[in-house]
Amino acid sequence: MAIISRLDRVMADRKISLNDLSEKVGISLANLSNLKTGKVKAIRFSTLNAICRELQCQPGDILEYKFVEGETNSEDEY
Amino acid sequence: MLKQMNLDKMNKSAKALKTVMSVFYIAAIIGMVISLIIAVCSVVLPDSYFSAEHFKNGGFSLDVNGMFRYDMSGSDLSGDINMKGIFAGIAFAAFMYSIALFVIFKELRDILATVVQKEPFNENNADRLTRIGGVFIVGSVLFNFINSLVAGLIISTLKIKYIDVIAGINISMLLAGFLIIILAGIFKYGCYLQKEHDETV
Repeated sequence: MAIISRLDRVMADRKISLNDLSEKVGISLANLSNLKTGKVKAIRFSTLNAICRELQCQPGDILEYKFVEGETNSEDEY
Repeated sequence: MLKQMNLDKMNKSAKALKTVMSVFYIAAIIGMVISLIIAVCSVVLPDSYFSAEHFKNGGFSLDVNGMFRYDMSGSDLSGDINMKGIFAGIAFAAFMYSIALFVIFKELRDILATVVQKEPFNENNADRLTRIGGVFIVGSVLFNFINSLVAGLIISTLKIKYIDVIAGINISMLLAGFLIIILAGIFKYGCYLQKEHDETV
C-alpha cells in the first residue's frame, strides 16, 4: 500500500509513548502499534480525529502518500 | 430501531448447545462402535443364533422403512428362516448413519466453540458448514438407498409377499444440503467483512 504512517515521527516530536497515546485516544495498544507500523487496512475518521486532537497535528502530518510503480486498484482484484 | 443484541444470552445459549452437541457426538461414536460390533457378530456367529424361532417371542418387531412394522411374535415363520442378513444389513445402516451423525455433530460442536469464543466468522466455520451440506446432499441419495436395501432384505428374508421397495432421493435432505452450502458461502463473505473490520482501527 502507498499510504505510509508517520505516526512514530509525530509521537517522537511530541514525546508521547504508545501506551499513553492509546489510553488518550481510546484504542488498544495492539491496534495503535499496527497503525504505527502501517499494518492496518483502514482508519476511521473518529480514530484519526482523536489522534490529531491528542498530538495537536493535521492528518497529513501522520499519513503520507507515496506513489508506487505498478500498484493496481484493490477493487480490481475482486 | 435495531434491537441491541444480548451477547451474554447468546453466549450462554451457545455454551449449552455446545454441550448438547458434544453429548450427541459421543453418542454417535458409541453408535458406530456398537453397530460395528453387531456387524462383526452377525458375520462371525453361527447361523443358529439367527433362526427366526428365537425372535417369535418377546414382542420383537422389524420396522420396514419407517412406514410399517412387521411384528414377529405370533407370525408363522418357520425356524429355517435365518435373520443373519437382516441383522448385518441393519448394523451396516446404523454404522453409516452413525458416521454421518458423527461428522455433523463434530462440525456443529466446533462451530459452537468459536461462537463461545466470540469468533464465529472465521474461514474454518465456512468449511465446516460446507462439509455438513455435503453430508446432507450425499445422504439424500445414500440413506434412502441404504433404507431400501435393509427393507428389501427384510422383505426377501421373511418372504413377505406382494410387497416391494421403492428407492428414491430424499428431496428435503437434498434441499437442506443446498441451503447449508449457500449459508456457507454467505459465511465466507462474513469472514471477509470480519477481516476488514478487524483491520480497521
